[in-house]
Amino acid sequence: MEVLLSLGVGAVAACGIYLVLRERTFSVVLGLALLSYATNLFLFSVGRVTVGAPPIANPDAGAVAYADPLPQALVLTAIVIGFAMTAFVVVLALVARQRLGSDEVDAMPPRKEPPG
Amino acid sequence: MMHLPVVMVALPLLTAIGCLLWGARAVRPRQSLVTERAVSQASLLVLVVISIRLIVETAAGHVFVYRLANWPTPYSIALVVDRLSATMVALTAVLALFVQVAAAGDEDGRGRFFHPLLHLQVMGLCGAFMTGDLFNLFVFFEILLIASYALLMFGGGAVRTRAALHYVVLNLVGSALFLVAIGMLYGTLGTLNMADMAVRAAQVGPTDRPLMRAAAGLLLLVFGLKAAIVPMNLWLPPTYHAASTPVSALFAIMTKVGVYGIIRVFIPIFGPDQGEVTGIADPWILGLGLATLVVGTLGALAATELKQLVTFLIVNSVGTQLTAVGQFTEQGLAASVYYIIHSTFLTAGLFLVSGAVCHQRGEIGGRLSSGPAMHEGRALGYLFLVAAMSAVGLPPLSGFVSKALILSATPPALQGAVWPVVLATSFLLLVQLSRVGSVLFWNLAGDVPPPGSKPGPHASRGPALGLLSASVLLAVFGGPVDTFCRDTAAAVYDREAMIQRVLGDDAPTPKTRDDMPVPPHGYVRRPQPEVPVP
Repeated sequence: MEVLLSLGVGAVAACGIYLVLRERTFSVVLGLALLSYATNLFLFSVGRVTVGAPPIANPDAGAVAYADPLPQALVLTAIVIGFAMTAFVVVLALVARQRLGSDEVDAMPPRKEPPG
Repeated sequence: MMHLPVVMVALPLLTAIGCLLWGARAVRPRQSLVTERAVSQASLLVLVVISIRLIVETAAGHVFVYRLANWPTPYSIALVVDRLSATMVALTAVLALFVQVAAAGDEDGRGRFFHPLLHLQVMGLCGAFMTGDLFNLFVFFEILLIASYALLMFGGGAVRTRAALHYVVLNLVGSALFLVAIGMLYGTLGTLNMADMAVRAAQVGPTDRPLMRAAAGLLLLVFGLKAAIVPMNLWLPPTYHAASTPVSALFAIMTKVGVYGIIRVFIPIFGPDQGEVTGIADPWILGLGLATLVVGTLGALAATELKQLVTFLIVNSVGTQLTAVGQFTEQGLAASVYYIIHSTFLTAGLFLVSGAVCHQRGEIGGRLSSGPAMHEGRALGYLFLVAAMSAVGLPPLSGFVSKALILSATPPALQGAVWPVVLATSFLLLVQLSRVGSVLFWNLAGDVPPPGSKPGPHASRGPALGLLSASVLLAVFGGPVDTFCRDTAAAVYDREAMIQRVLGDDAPTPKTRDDMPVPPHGYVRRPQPEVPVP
């Protein structure tokens, strides 16, 4: 199962990197989302892959398998942050499309304006 | 007293929420701004006072370990304030106060919610400088980043939007990599508390060394992206150039977060005497530091615009800091702490001065060619002179003291590599800054300011003067400050004392994965946490 999981994480991450390197903001946003999914899956698996084990350690039960609860908490936090960031980047991409008149990541501003 | 660390996080958050609600309900944003300014300034003043108190307490040898919700370590997320953290937090608070005063003249009215964003940024910075937990560091990184995204966009405009898009995408990729690094470290060490990680990293076996090496490399990449180390420096000049003047002055401390992360991870966790992981990235850090120094200087030489020049001076200063940190000696770290204090104030002051210069030159802005006279050419010229001398490292200002400290801290084996680079780049900066100063202030196209131009808001003059006077003060009080920096560096290198302070008497008996019984289905089991009693 580890092999399947790691192949999955690798495939999703590869797709994410490919999309992030594209020139249009839409694919870049999709790529960022895929990248964060891959990261979350990876993070989930660092507590070792367990099946059907409770995330609660019972000191009396001895050597019984349990799922490490900490990575689950980390993933939850990472998902929330990733969700907020994706929402932000979507809005930013829309604003950029409006202000730059193009949805290319490297679009040049329509006219020269002095910053500051 | 014992709650002081958490106030440094909670107060900016509450101020931000308060300002946000007040600003959002206002019918006329301009009028509500007056209240927002007052509240925001008062709150920052309180932060400065608290952070000075933190410095005084930590200088007396106290280390604050604030366990959130009072869970026992290492299960709790702890805020750990030692001398270095207190210094960085005080630096943040003082800088934010100056930036707030500078922005309160005019800039904060060009959009909405400047003050809430400023305080969220301060909250993220203070949290990142105080946390003792690697995942919590990630969370505070995200807070300061999302505030910085919005601050960068502050005031609007196509140029800023484009810069912000690049900055956001890069940092989101950086965050993903940070999470991967955290995951690898947790998977190997079984903890995220940085003091606990230092304990367990020393016990890593040879089989886990490649994993640790990869995680260390990823962390270096992530911190390098924040600090703008070569080759991750390309985002910084356009981003800081596009930001409005007070915002770019505040961003002067953003690169320091990356350097601070490198100090906190690569000295206690991957530092000396750590068994298999000893000095896992040391040669990289010094090499990249020297490369960053060179690239920053070359960029400054090639700059065609004043603010662009200052952004490359930031890259240059990051290189100098890393050159000092990367020597991995106490003296090197002490020199870099001094340099961090010096360069934060200097860069912020330079940004404020350049903002005023660009404004007063009218249409030509910051372009480095002969332009009209400025309304306050003389005053700005003196400020620029002080800043330039300090940036180059000419005596008697703090730039000279800091570079002399770095050079004298260099161990003989590294002198052949470090001295020529630092001295040659300083010389090139001297050439370029003399040229820029002459062009801006002497090579004028006319003796009178262009008709219709205004001297502009005066609010940034005072803060610029205050920030740049730090260069003088740091040199005048060089002795005490140097002693303080040496003690700070010694505290960072004293790993055992830090572990003792953070983990206390109930320090967990170190366990490796090999000690643990294998559960029935064959998967390797992690060290079983005891059920914490709140």
